[in-house]
Parts: sequence; structure tokens; C-alpha cells
Amino acid sequence: MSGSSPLDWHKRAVASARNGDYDQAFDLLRREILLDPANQAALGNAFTVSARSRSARTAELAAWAVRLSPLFTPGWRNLLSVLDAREAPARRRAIARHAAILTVGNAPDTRRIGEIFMGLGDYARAAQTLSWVTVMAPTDVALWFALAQSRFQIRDHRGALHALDKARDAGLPREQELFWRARLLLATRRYDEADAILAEARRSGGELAARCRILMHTARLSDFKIDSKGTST
Amino acid sequence: MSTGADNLDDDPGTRVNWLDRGGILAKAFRMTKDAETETKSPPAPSPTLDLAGHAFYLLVEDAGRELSARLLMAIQLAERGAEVWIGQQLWFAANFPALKPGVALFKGMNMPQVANMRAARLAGHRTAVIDEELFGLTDTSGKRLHDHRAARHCDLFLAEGEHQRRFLERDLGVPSDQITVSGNPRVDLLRPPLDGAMERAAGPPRARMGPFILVNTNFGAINPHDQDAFNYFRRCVAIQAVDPTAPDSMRNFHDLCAFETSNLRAISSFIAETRRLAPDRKIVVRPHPAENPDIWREAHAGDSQVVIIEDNRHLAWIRAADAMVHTSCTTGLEGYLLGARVIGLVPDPDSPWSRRYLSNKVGEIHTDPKTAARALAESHAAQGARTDQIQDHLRVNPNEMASKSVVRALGRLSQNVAPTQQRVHLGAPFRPFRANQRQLDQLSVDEAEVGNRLNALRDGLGIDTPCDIETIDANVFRVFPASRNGRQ
Repeated sequence: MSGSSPLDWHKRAVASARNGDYDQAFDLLRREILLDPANQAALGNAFTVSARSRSARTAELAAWAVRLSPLFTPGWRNLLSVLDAREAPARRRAIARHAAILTVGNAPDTRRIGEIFMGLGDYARAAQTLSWVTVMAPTDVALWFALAQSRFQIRDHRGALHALDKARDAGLPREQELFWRARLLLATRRYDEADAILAEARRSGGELAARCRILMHTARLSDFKIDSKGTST
Repeated sequence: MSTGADNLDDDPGTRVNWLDRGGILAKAFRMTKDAETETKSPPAPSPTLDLAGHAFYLLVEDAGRELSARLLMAIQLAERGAEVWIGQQLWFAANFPALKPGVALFKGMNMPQVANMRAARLAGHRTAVIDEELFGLTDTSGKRLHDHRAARHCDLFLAEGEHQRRFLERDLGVPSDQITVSGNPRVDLLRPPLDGAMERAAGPPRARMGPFILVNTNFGAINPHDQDAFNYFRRCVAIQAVDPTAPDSMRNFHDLCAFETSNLRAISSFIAETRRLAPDRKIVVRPHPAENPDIWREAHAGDSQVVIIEDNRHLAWIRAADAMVHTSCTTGLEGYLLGARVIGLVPDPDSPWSRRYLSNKVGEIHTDPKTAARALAESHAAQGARTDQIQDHLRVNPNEMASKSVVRALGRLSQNVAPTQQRVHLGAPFRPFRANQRQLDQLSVDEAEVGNRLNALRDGLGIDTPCDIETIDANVFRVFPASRNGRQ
């Protein structure tokens, strides 16, 4: 019967979406997916339709899609894109770990996964994940910057400095570079260089200056080595 | 002698007060007792209240700080027939729905804690709190340690003193019938009959170091374990202890850092002066567990007189030391109550942050590091601990252990757990919790250590009723009366 085959549903769904009738489009695609959970085109379109309609069910749909079709890489990509920081940490970690396997080699996905691990405070895994794709995306500023931050947090200061240099060369804004370079220099006890950068950063005013003011409270080695006259040694 | 094995409803107010020289304490007790009587508490349990079949969940963040005090409660609850689960607080947060409804005791009232209280309540548990972050603080205005929703999600607030009770009522809007002024069970460990266990624990540090001066530091903001003051700031913001959009909150944060910097320079100067005045005296520096110890080691590398130790058994080290020096640290208060010679170094006594610490109101207080070092070089005995000047902040009842008061209140609260749900644990096997390194540093104990601590406490209390331990998961244990085998 005309209009009742999955192919026809799909055509009508696309047409409905083009006309802005996202609810109709979604219902048609849902029917198609229920018949064939591995229908990747339907899954992808359903997610797109849902995202365009700014539906509250977008995240739910993304999760549903990966459950129906766990090897469908774009499904994981969709799920990553809607994963909220308010999700339970265990769920975020599980999703990031699954997605990392399926999206390996894809720089934007990997960066997103690395950022999820960073958000979870799992900097070791974040650094490991991000470092996988630096060869494939040598000019991805955000990737290098995230890698620098992760390496700093696991005290790989040399690696962090290298990643920060790469991020700078790829176009990292000067303000962000200054702050993180100052942190790295303080952590490696290169106080004179850190002070020069902090002075420059504080002159710029605004949020950067406020952050640097906080950073400058960090105790220095000289504070621990004071002689009986109260002088730093 | 009170052994903690008495009935839940023993009357503490009728006994002789051996510490109260001026009658101040007796008056305070009468007031406390009156206040307790005035509140609309749930019906008092019978003197032989049986807690068999009731479950209690005692959440721990830091073993050095809370574990023994929680085990002390566990013994007394198990003695009344209850089963007590004790351990990693985040494991409980992940497993509340799988646990049979009981009473969950939290260690704080900040945003993450209150979120977990809410989760516990949704799973049918009753919630209670002893705010360990407040122990030894005289006011709470520095960092925001409380989520205003605590009153909504917590059934019972165990206040350390009247001062905290007033704060809970006035600032958090907690109804008076949800507050019990109990003191803090950590204090029980410092006083007879349990301080004998501390003396035994002091043996290994003494044998290792010989005579020594202990320096306990407290610079978690400017020398944090995660590298710099900005990371500390981020953590404060994450738990809503600091509001980056509020000028007052930010000013407080900067003041805290300035306060710590001043203290750090003072303690460094004190160490140098002590080395000069007493080159033969060993100085043991114990950085706060929230600090980065590496920089201390770097600063004193090659110096045989100064030893840096990382050991969360801080009470054993205090007991073993000839004297303890601190800069506005809770350990100063603990040392004082333990009867140690305690020297507080307060370079800026007018700073609001200096005034926030109860430890700066007890023991010997010096503003100048050199004077402190000279005083230390001279021989002095420890001052006898007097608690009248701190009673408003920290209730110390010489006739009753705080843990007993807490157990009584928890027992009452457990009567309100829905009885139809009290028999079965729903979810075993439980959801695992994977601790990160920081969490492991704070709490990493095995069944043998828990058993040893438990036995030492039972010996100290003179309790003969046996109880068993079962390991549920990493750093999570179940303590139950020995006659009751297996999980219910």
C-alpha cells in the first residue's frame, strides 16, 4: 500500500523535517527504527530532527540509539554531543570509554571524550586519549590546549609545556596561554619567569588578572626556607 | 566509669563533674539539658531500646579524621543489636537505593553532601549529620561550608555545641526539634577511658624518632596537594564554598590565602629559630593531608634535624611528641584535649581567620616565632586541659561520651524508618565505586585494620559483647552483633 513502507516513511520524514514539522518527522523515523534498529540512516536523521527541534528528548534519543545499535559510530558521536555535565559521573565515564573505542582516530570526537574525562577529574585518561590524535590533527588548537591542561594536572610538566607551545603555535589566544604558562612555571619553581608573565597578565586586567591574582597566592619554595631572622634563604 | 555500655537513656546531668572547677560546666550542662528537654524530640525510647534489625550507615571521608570515631559509634550500635555499615562515603552515595532503609550519618553539609542526603532520603533512608568540617571552628563565615537546603534533606543535626545549635537555627532555619547538642565523638578518643589506646599508638613514632617536637601545618589553600592555589579555588567553587561572583566571598578567599601565607612564613621562621636554639632537638613536620608534602621535603632536603612525615595517624604523633606546634590547626585543639603541650603560633591574632579557630583559644599562644621557639626551648609541662572556655563551641561532657549521645539520637531517629522496609538489602551485588588516588590517600583501610581499631576501642570501653566485621567492598565494612551471621 502506498505510503506504508519504511522507505516511504523515510521520504515523508525528510519532507516533514524540511517543512519544519519535526514531530511528524520524528514519529515516522521512530517507526522505521523500531522495524530495523540497525537502520543507521534513520537513527542519524532521528537524532538530527530531535536536535533541530531542541527537544528535551534529544539526549534520551541519543542514548536509545546507541542501545539499539551499539556499533553505530555516529550514534555515539551524537550521544557525546549531548552528554551533560550533570549526568552521573559513572555514566559519563562509561559513555566516554565506549565512545573512545568506536571513534578512535577522529580528532573532534576524541577531543570531546578527552574533555569528558577532564570534567570527571580523570586527567590521566584524558591526557592519554587526547595524545592519540595529536598526530592526525597537529593544528587543532583546542586539542593541544586540552592536552596541556590534562598533562599539567598529572604533573607531566614537560609534556604540558610542549602541548602548550603547540597550542600557541596553532593560534591559542594569548590570554589563555599566559595563564597556563604561569601555572607551569610556578609548578616547576621557575619563579622569575612566572613573575614576568604574571605581571604582563595582570596588566591586561579583566578576568585574566583576577585569575592570576588567585594563582599568585601559591606558596613558593622561599616561603618554606626562611632563616631565624625571617629572611628567605 | 561510663563504659558506653549503659542504657541509652542514662542521665548525664546527675553525675560528678571532675573537670568543672568553677561550676561553669555544671551550669552549661543544666542549660544543655534544659534545652534538650525543651525541644520537641521524638518520643524517648525505652531504657532497653533494642536496635536489632535496624541499619545504620556511617559515611567516612578521611580515615585519619573520622574512622575511629565512627567505629566507636558502631560498637555501641552493634551492642544494641543494630548492623552498622561504615566506610567510603561515595560508595554509599552510589548504593543508597540498594541498601535497606536505615539511618545514614553524613560528615558535612556542603552542596555535594546535601545532594547525597537527598539521594538517601529518596531511597527511604533517614539522614543525620555531624559536621566534621566545623570541628574546632568558632564561626562559619569564612568559607561557605553549608548548603542552605540541608534543613530540607537532613532529619537530624548533631551539633558540637550551643554555638552551632544557634547557627543551625538562625542561619539555616533548622527546626529546634531536629537538633541535638551532642559534642563530637572525636573528642571521646582523646579522653579517658579511650586515651590509653592513643598512648599505645604513640609507641611506634616514639621508637622511630626518639624525643621530638611536632609541627602540624595547615596550608591547604596556598600549598594544596593539587599543585597551586588556583586548583584549590576551583575545588572551593565546585562545592560552592566560594562564590566567584560575590565580592565578599572572594575577599574572604583572598584573606584566607594571605592568612596562610603569613602563617607559613611564621612557622618556617620558627623552625629556623628552633634549629638555632636547640640544634639537638629533632623537629618533625607533618604537613596537613590536604597539602603538597614534596615542597616541604625539597625545602629541608639534607637537613637531618628536620624530618617530614606523611601519616594520617595524627593523634599518635601528637601523643608521642614532647610538644606540638601549630598555626591555626584543629590538631591544636585535639592535642590540647589529649593533654599534650600545645603551642599555637598566631602571627596575626586580629585576623578574622585567626579568631575562627578554637585551637587559638587553648594552650600556649605566641604571636612571634622567636618567642615561641624560646618558650619551647625552655622546659614546660603541658597545661591541664580546661574546657570551660570552649564549652559553648564544643560540648565536652565529663560524665558522658559524645558518641553515646550521638548513638542515642541516631537510635531515636531509626524508629522513624518505615518498618515494612527494614528487612532486606535490595541490591547486592552493589555498584562498585572506583576511588581516585586522592580518595585512596584519605581512606584506604582493610578489614584487619578496622578490626584492630575496633578491638582497641572495645577494650578501652570495657565492652565484652562480641561483634563481627564483613568486608562489603573496598573500604566499606559491615559491623554486626556476632550472633547474627550473614547479610540480611
